[in-house]
Amino acid sequence: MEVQNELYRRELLKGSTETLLLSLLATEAMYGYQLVKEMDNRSSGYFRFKEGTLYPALHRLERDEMVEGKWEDSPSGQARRYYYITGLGRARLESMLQEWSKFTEAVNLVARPENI
Amino acid sequence: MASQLRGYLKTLENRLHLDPGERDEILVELETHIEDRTQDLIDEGKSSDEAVQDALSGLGSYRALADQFYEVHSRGSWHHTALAVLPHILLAFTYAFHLWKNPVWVGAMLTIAIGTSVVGWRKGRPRWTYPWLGYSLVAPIVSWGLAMSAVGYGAWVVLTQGTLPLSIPIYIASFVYIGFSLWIVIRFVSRVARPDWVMASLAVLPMPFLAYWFFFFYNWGFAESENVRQLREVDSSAAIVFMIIAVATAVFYRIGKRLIRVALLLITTPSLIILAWMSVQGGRGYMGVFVFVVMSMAVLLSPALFDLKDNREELAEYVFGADQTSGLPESAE
Repeated sequence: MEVQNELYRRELLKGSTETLLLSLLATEAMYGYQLVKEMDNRSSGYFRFKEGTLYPALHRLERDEMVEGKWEDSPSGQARRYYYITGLGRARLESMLQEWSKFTEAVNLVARPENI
Repeated sequence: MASQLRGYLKTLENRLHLDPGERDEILVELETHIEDRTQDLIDEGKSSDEAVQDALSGLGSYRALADQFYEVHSRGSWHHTALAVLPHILLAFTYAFHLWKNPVWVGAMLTIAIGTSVVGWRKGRPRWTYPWLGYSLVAPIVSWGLAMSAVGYGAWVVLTQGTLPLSIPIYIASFVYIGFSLWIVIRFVSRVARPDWVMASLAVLPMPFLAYWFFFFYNWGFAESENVRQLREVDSSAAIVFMIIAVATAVFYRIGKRLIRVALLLITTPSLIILAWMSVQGGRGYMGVFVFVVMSMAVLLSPALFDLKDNREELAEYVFGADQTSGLPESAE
């Protein structure tokens, strides 16, 4: 059961990567590893980004002009590639969150009608 | 610790068929990530070897990672795709309106192709320039073929009649030109093939069909044919072929997956030669066409040979499948 839950969680994460990344970047610009840790913190360890998926996803968002990557010095003085959300990214995030809200509402209507 | 990290990044680098600037930026970004992750794991109490191992495991298979980066970075925008298919559409137009016999039009086309290629080359060879680069090779290849024909004809006459049909300086000049033009083409293709041999294969995609048209249609006297209807049928087939090449090129640019790109290239040209053979020659002379198809496959795969050290693993995968390749680590796990 635990294995099945883990697989289901991974599937959910795969479909939500873009939304989660844009949500994190909407608060502040971050670099890749910082995003992994921030995601872990905010979701209390529920979401763990597979780094091999994270970086191609960030580069895809950059290609689609939803984020912009810039090399900058981190507080430790080392250069890191920080990702900034763009206006297009914010608009896309807004639209995805609205859709997510409708989706979860519809899932609840079907799966837990007694709570409505 | 450092050797594990270097080994992983080097293997990944060989597999990342991107422009050096893009590739280096990705590698530096991943390197900083691995260093950060390793340091955190050491702070949690792991040994440095274990920490690096775990950090590399987090990134997963270098193959999957490289393929994902390639897909993201190599997919062309619609604007770039339109620029990439333009030379094929111009060729289709040339055949559809029988303009290939017009030297002014052909000269203008070659000038545009060479000019666009030079501009693209100076701007760091953006991906949309590759089809243009391919067409700019037509002039040296054709002149090389003509010089080879002159030398071959001379050798044949010497053997059969014992005399040279042309003067010795002409032959010396031909030999020099053959060497020079071959050097230009090989140097050019090796430069183009270096970051991504699949893009170089795309550049030479129309070459097998152009060669087929040149040898089979032109040398068989169709060019001088008084049968206008027959000539127009041949031109219509060529126009359709170039439109299909344009569509294949558009699909190539819009689909970033490397395996699909290779399959598309290997299927398109032989299929078009067979299509032209069926429609124009009515299926006669199949041995000649078979040889042409084999040669066209060899031409399309030949850019990979220019960087065989880095490409051998990938070529083996396409031929034998992923599990049959060399013992390079799939990941650091």
